[in-house]
Amino acid sequence: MTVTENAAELAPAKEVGQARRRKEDARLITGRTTWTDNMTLPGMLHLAVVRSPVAHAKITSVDLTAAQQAPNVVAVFSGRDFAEEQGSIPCAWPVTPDMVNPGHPSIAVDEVNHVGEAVAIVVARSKSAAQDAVELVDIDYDVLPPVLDMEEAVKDGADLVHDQLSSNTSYHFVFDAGDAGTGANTDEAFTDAEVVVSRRFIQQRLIPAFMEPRSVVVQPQGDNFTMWSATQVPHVLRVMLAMVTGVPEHKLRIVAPDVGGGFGGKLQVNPEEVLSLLVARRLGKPVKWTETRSESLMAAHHGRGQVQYVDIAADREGNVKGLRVRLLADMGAYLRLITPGVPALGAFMFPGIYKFPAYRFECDGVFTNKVPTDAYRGAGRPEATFAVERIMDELAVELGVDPLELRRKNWIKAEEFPFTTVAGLEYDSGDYDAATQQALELLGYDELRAEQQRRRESGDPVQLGIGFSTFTEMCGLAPSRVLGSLAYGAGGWESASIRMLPTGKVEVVTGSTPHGQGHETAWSQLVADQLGVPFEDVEVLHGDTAVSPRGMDTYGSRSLVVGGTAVIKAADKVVAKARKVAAHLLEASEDDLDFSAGKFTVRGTPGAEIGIQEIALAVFAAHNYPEDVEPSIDADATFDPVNFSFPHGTHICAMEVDTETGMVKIRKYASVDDVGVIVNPLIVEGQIHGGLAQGIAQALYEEAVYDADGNLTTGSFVDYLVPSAADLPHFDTGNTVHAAPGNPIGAKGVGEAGCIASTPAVVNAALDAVRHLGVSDILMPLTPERVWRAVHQGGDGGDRAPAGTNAYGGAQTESTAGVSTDASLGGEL
Amino acid sequence: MQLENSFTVPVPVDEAWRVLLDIERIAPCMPGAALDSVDGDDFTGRVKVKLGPINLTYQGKASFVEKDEAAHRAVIDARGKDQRGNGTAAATVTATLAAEGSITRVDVLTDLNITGRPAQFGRGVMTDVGNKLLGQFADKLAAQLGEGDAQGAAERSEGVAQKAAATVTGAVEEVAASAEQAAGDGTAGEKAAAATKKAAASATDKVTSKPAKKTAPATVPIDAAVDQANGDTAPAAVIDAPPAAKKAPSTPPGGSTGPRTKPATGAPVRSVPDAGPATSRPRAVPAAEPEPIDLLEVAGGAAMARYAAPAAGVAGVVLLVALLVRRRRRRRG
Amino acid sequence: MIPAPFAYARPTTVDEALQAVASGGEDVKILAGGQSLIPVMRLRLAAPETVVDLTKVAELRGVREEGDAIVVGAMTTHSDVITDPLIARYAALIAAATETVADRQVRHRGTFGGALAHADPAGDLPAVALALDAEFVIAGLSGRRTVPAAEFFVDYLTTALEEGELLVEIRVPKHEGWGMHYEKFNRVAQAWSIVAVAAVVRREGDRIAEAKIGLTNMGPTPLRARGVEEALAGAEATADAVAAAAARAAENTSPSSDLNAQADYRHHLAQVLTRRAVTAAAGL
Repeated sequence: MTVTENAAELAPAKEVGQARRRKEDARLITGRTTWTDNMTLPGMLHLAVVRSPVAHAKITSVDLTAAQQAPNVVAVFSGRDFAEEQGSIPCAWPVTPDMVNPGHPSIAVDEVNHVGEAVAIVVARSKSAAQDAVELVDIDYDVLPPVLDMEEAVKDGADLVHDQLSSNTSYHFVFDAGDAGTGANTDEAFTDAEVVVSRRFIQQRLIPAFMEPRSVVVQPQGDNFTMWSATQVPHVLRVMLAMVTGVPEHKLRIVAPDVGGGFGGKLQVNPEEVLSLLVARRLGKPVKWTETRSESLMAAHHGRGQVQYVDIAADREGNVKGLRVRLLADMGAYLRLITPGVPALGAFMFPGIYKFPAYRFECDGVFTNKVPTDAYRGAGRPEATFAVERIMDELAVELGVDPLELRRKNWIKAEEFPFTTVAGLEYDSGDYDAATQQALELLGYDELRAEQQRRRESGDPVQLGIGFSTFTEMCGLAPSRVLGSLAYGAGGWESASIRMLPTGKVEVVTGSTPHGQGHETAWSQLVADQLGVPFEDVEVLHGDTAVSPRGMDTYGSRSLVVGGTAVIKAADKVVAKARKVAAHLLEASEDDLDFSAGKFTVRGTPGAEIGIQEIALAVFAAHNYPEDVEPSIDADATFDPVNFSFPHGTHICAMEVDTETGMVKIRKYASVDDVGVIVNPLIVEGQIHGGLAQGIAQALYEEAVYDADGNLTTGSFVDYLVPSAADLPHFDTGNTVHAAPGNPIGAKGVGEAGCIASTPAVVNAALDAVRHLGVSDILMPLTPERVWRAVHQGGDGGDRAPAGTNAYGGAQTESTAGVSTDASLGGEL
Repeated sequence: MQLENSFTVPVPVDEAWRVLLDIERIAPCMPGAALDSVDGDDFTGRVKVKLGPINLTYQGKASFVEKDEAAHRAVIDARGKDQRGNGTAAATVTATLAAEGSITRVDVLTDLNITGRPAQFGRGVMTDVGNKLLGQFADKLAAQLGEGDAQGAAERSEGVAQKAAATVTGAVEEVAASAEQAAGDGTAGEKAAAATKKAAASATDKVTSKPAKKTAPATVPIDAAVDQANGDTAPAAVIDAPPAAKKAPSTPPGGSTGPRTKPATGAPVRSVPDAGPATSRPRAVPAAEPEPIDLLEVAGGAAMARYAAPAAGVAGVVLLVALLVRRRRRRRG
Repeated sequence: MIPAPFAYARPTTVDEALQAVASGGEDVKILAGGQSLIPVMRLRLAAPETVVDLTKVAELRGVREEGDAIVVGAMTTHSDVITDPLIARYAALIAAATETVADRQVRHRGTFGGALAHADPAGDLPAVALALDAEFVIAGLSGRRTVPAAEFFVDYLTTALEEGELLVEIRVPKHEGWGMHYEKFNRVAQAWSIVAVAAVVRREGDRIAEAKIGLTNMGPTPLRARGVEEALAGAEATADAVAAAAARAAENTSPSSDLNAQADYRHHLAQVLTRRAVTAAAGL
């Protein structure tokens, strides 16, 4: 039998799914690119910011004379100089109609509300001249008591952060399934419950600690301004800066050059960006500002910062009946871009993957005299996942059942998808069982359980524990209408435009703004498949509002799902336009044409073909093209998703705990994640690893600590411990694939998954190792001291240094274990 | 952070109270301090703090915000800014005197707040520094209060200026005189010299006629005193009184300066041990700038048990002199 | 951040260095590897008038043998110390401890003498020098003097070095036939020790003849755990005896409380780490 192989049927291997090395890495990893701080413009001046050393004070006097006379200083400004024109940093997410926003000046005028707040700006001819002059600015402060502890801050008669307000609470946000009609009311669920477990968890304040410090360069040209900024959000920034400063939007161009990481920390309208623009406008000269690392840790926005009261109701068989969450969310001193919305983003994720019939969520946004919080990898969802995954373990302990079995009993079954949760979200697809099975094998679960048993029986000083985190998260921000219903200030669409150049090369303009995610590579893979052009022939342009005029930028694990879909849709439009031209050139009907591997062929007429790159050239020459079309096959598309996408996964951590010293060590970490269709496995693995590193860091290493005076005592990497590769274990990762129905790629978003899942897996593992020694909780980060104290002295590890000393302070707050659970309800006291 | 120090001084409470209110004697008790101006209850100055390679100079002002004669309670509010913009330091010092017969018990409670860069390290450096600074301050304050004032000295002893009293007096006066010279026109130098002179029992007019502008720190003349002392007969005289030296007990390390209250040990003055072989520090005498006191060399509580020698010498000599003189006074009176 | 302006001197001999320091003005700092000084200067917690850079003073580098001791030049870098054969043979503890210092880049610039002169109680080398009974050779304009380790470390960040003096070299008695181990406890790989223990043990058959224990970060200076040394002298080389001796590790220490650990936890760690260090050094 002869097999005739038609060349057209031998499709080349698809790009999507290939572990392509990233196009951007050569320059990013070697640094051979122009980062914002590398930019030098003729006549450029340097800004240095004078920052408040005190947490809460009235400014009583400002003396700039010595600084103004310092060598090479061009100007020194205080808040008074910009009081009229600085406006307020915008808050784009007023989560409730009566949310209180005291306004956020970019530079303090009469009072300061957190350590590190800008109080003066020095403009000089060199960076060192500016830095030298910072020392000469003389400002007097009338110190006020700082508000640092949220639980104290919400009590009656507490000191106020903003004395023009009547309390420290910015808003009270409620989501009640009963009221929303998505589930039952929690009151009944809890009164009728056979078992209730209540806990207080702390989500400690974290610092995004991106590798490239923030940097801004502004160049005025007549009444036009170009701003280069290490930002994640050039489009958002452009709109916001125009609104705040009054510079007309069409006269403002924002460029995000290569940006070295963000993690949500650069999802912001920064006071320094506003100030740089105002100074450039006032002086008519180009200016540059770049922060130092200690400035970054102190003044760039922080993440997390919650006190969580969580109650779970269940019956004795372990069926969950209700979930109640009450949060105190630390806003910091001011509301920045989406500060109040971050905890609210988590509101819908506390139920996790479980079928809670009843659910209620309440959150108070509380002001404190600390730097504002805002988005940080996960933005609300790690906090939610931590709470539910921890409380499930606590419930398992209470009921005396296996924590994995308890989860299995309550989670959504594969055949139940799509599933609408008690929070009103429709989870699209997934299979928690399959992922879990794979993870258990990856970990070597049975052997480790056996080892745990042996160590327990022999009383080994090194104990072993295993912790689970079965999670899902909502990503692919977002259906615009849903955002509207949540009072979010912007939409969730994304744009792309594709142009084919005469030589057949392809330029893809995307509204996403990568800062390490590898979009140039992934988008090239998508377009290579859609248009059938070589991977190397695709160039991805982004980050410059003059080049990519429409976009919603990158955060929230949205870019592939929303931005990648826009790219696909634009490519489809290009093919459709090209089809018309092909039909004309091949003298066939459009319906008779097949398009595959970049070529249009006429069905039934072998040899009649034309490649899309040839069409591009033909259209450029425009000598012969159909009359009813324009001589262009370029196209753009804007995609607004209909739903969020819901990746999920099972993470299992095996942890050794040295009970003599409290040191914990991850013995093995296995995670199986379902992120839908995988475009580039290398990128997915990188994202998972990075997320795991940050999630584990929250569990074990990182914490932004403020002392009793409001000083940030973790002001450098000496004390703010970011783990290195030497501190993290090998990650055993795997994937299951359940395509997302909501987009043509079938992708689900992976950027934050590792970070969201890992933290509770690690904490659960440590607790599993030492519960039999009487430990019921340990505060994060699980420093060796805390673990040791929990094991040997009881409690949760406690504060990290004596209260009231300069190392750590704040009011004494109660310990975490077993809060307010009535014994009659079967909970612990 | 809150720090507490307690000690007793061998003068009656009213006399101690008078000394406490004498800014020009009290302000320089802060180590590394230089007084710039005095205006009634307010004074301005600088405190230089050196900790290994770290070098900070706080410039600021302090005032008596409360003087309760009946309760013998004074509150000093001090606040300063680092000259290099490294932050601020603020202290509210509450000193309460209580009569215990003919001696006085002094309780010093300090509320110390440090902001800016030194506070941005979690290793607790500033707690250690704060402790030492306040311990130093308490030591010197004790010395000052213990010397009493002119009025009290006159009341306590007639025939106050007797040369026969010795080599000690002579040596001390020599010390004081050379200290004066060494300190140039620095009145704080004069003041310390004057203090030693007083201790030698001559109440001089110089004590009362101090110009307002002060530039040299209290510590320099002490050093100068040491320098001179080491080269003169003074140390011989000092060493002649070993019982007095031995009477100065070592208080437990950090005892009086920790966050918890520790009662006074009953010693007349919180002292430093081993006035013995001081490692002399050839130090240039400064003109107008306050010489940074390397606080960790002048003994604080914790230091004592471990490394007496270099630390002890400086303060030890002064205190020995003070003790000697007191002894002499007692003999006389 | 950027340091404040300073004058810079780069002598090539010890004498030149001493001259440069003497004429450097009121506030002179000596630059060895710069791994402690430069960060402090960049944060502007120090703004010396003059910085005297010893990088070119060749006579301060290198390790040599001198009778019953080895002499380590103060400017010998950590990475050179780690690979030096004399140190490996006669004072392996130094190499073991130095390997735990920071990371490769820091070790290529940081120096043995610089770390010792900086006298950070959380630094690893001071306790090692103390445990090995090292002697510090100090040069001043009036000549040289030698200070034993027990007197060299005076207080937090303070040594017996007077103003105008230079640490030239460190004499370490040869320790042949001793077991050595440095047990370091820190949270992340490049971090300073929360507590660490240097143990140097000499066995005689089934007994421990002599032990020297240096403690890192149990006070403002490195300390010798005299109580443990006493208990170990002549003790049986068994796990129990070591544990009993190690229980005395916290005697006469005054560790501070900070974000990493409170004093009572440090006391406990000292005991556990001493036990582990001595056990390893004793070959048990």
